[in-house]
Amino acid sequence: MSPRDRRPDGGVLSQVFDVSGAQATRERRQQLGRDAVMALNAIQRNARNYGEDNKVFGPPIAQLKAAVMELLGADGLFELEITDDELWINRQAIRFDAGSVPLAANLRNELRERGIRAIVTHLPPPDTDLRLLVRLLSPAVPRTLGPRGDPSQPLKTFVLRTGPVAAAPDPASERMTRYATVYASAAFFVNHTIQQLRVGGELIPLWAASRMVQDLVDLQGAAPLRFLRLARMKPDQPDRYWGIHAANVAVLAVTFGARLGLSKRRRHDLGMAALFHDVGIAAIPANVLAKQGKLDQKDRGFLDASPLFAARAILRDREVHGAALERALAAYECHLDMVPKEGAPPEVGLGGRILAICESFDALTTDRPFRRAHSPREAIGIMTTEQLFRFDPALVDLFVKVAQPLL
Amino acid sequence: MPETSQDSALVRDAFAGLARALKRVSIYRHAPGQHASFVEPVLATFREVLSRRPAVTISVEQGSLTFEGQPVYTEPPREWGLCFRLHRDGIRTITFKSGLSAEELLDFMDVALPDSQGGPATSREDAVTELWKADLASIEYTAIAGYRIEEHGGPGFSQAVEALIQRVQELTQASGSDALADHGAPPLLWDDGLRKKNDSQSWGELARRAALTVLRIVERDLAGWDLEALQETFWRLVDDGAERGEVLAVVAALDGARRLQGQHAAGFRTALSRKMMDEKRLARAVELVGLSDKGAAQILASWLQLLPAEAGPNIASALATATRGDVIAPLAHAALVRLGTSRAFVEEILHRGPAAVSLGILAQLGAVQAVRPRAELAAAALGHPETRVRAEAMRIVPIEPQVAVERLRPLLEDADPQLRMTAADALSSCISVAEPAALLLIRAMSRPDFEQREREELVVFHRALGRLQSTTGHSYLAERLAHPKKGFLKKRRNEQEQLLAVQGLAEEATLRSLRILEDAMVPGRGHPPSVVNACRAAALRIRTPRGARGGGNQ
Repeated sequence: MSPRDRRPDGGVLSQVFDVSGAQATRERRQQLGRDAVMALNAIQRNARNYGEDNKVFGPPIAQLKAAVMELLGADGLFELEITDDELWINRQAIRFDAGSVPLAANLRNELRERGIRAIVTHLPPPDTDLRLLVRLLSPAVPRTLGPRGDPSQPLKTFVLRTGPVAAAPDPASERMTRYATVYASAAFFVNHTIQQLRVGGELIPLWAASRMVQDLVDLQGAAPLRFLRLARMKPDQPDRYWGIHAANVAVLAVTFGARLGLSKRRRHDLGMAALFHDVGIAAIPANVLAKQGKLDQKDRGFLDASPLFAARAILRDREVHGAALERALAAYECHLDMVPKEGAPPEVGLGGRILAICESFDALTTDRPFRRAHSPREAIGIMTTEQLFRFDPALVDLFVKVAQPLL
Repeated sequence: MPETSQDSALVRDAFAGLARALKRVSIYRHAPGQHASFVEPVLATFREVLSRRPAVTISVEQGSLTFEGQPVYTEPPREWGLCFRLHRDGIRTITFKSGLSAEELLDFMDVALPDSQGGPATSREDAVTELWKADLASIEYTAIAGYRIEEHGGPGFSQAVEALIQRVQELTQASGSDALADHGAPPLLWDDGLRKKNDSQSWGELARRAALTVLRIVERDLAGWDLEALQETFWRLVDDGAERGEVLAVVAALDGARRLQGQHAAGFRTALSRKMMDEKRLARAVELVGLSDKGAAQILASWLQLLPAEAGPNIASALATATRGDVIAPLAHAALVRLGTSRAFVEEILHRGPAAVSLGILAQLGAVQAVRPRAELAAAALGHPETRVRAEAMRIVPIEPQVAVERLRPLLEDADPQLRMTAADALSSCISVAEPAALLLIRAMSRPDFEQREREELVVFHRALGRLQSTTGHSYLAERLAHPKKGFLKKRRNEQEQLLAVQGLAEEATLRSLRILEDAMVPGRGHPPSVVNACRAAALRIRTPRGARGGGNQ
């Protein structure tokens, strides 16, 4: 698991499972967790008989330090958590062999008795901190421990989480909550942005959207199928259409990008562009958007201009790095027909071509004021025949494979 | 030395090296090929410390990076500083792990590279996003949990999101809960070749299309209250494009701006051009011409076309230091069409600037429509230290005879005979001010040392005097032919004097000069045979219609 998205207090903010994932890393983490537990156990046992400066603590402190340092090196974090019946290292339950289970249980009990729920550090601990741990595990430990241990001799780098031990999280449930939260945040972001653009209010900063899309990309990598199924979500109220539509397009585009083998960077660009691709509708009067009959020329003018409004909403930020340009262009170009009725074919980048397909698929499969939703199969049928002029035909063929689980 | 202190010293060395490498990379941004060599020593130090411990974790503070509580890199906290940027964007620790490669270090340096001082802070993404995107296996980071949507969504966030989360969870459960866990990643649909073919957008390509999109928005009058912001974005695309050497993108953007229609077009161009006239930016455009890229030659022309009238001094300033012919010509032209603001500067360059530049300006003087200013500018080069510049200027100055008469006089007495001859020749075309011009020539020819000069020069002066067809000049030449100076041992010189006068009168080619020549041919006049023969030839030449002479002007 990548620990960067965790709160300093140890709460899981953005991820609940390992997305970095190499098996070797997980196994190594297991070993380091066991090393740390055995070292702490040795310290705790010896602390009954020896003072904290005794040489007997040298080897277990060294072992603990080595484990902490390697985990910091690998994850940027050392977090030993105590649950009712398990010990967790960096959000991974530690597996013990039969001989070690009693030792682990002993340590768990000792720590629980002291009210310690977790020992955490983001920084390499100095030797003084490791010696203070000896003191905390000795029988003479103070009754009240704070986040830095004994307030009279506080730890410099280690933080103790104290209080009643929480039940072990249900990974499946946490995982689903995580997917739902990120998806819902994305939909909220788009609705909020459109609303604020309409009234000229304060927008959510881009970096927040960027972090959210980072989560989307990471989640897609962790469980592609489950992630893709988020795109089945449909709005229950018409005024929530744009947020859910954009979130669906982001899900589809990030998935499509991953299937094409695009880099993390490019998938992020796609996700960001997807969130912004329809913000131009903020410039369209609400009555035009809700119109059920045929649009007149003036209404049509608003709709035609909306892609440029989307580009304007991005380009006005004065950002000219590649990602911002990609975002603005994809948001604009995804609305252009690949084979226009008149004139030369427009220049459309890969982002725009991918978004055009994803956005049409989601729009066609959603109820709109002017028509009922098509089934995913019908939508693909329309996209590959009567609307094919709008898309890159080779990409449409590939998209059919990507969207297969939704059909 | 204890192990930890030794490690600290190594980490300090590594970061000192990293700081040096960052500085070199920022100086040689345009030479990415060299960057790998800058990081080699840093990498060696990192590898040494990483051979002693599995990882090195650095804490990021506003003005320093610390390792195990000791600062390993410090800098004053300033907006464009490395530490400030990392800290501001939420990064708190950076961990270098064993297996660190040069490519990873270079990618990290891309993120760590300080923003250009005073440059736009929005030319890149935030550091967390950049590090996340870089996806470095051996360099990890931790960031604070802030900067998330939860903090910015306002009071309605929780309620709106909670409702949606519930619906999403219901949907997920309905479609198969956790039992539908994925088993392995699905196969890729593109191989590397297809990916490269379909997704090879450079920044320049994106910038070009983005710039044209901005123009489309402005032209269709859709910019609204964002017009100023879009102008700024457009300028940054141009400016960054120039910085990055993306010539085609810049040319396309500028040409688009030049052709822009609509009610905001003029204002848009004005705002843009005021930024483009900045001396440093103009210097960069000049620099780009030196690139071998396609379109490099066009960039300066596109740039200069948009500059406002008040850009004259800046253009002249760029011109003063230009060395390439393909830069001097467009700059000179641009400076001359903005003479209202550039005149004093252009005159200064003509007077004492580099010869190539002065000659370049003289070659472009046609850009100045009015004759007198054109002649006056050329006259400014008459004082140039280099002969070839003065000579070229002398050929131009007579377009305004009054100016020529005023300014060529000193050159008739220049130390260089070639210049004296060119000046005389130039004056000979000033027919409309023939009398004062002739007086100048006669004054020069009356100098005591004039007769000692090379025959070629004497011929040029006499012919020039004749060509003016002035009364004064005619009298002078006629007198010389009819009554040469007398004196023992001066016979030969007198004869030469007469022959020169004949050449002058032949060049005058008027009826009165013909009469003088024919009179000199009368045997009773007692002129030497060579003079008589010369007069005969000259008279014949005058009588012969110009078209029938053959050989053109003599």
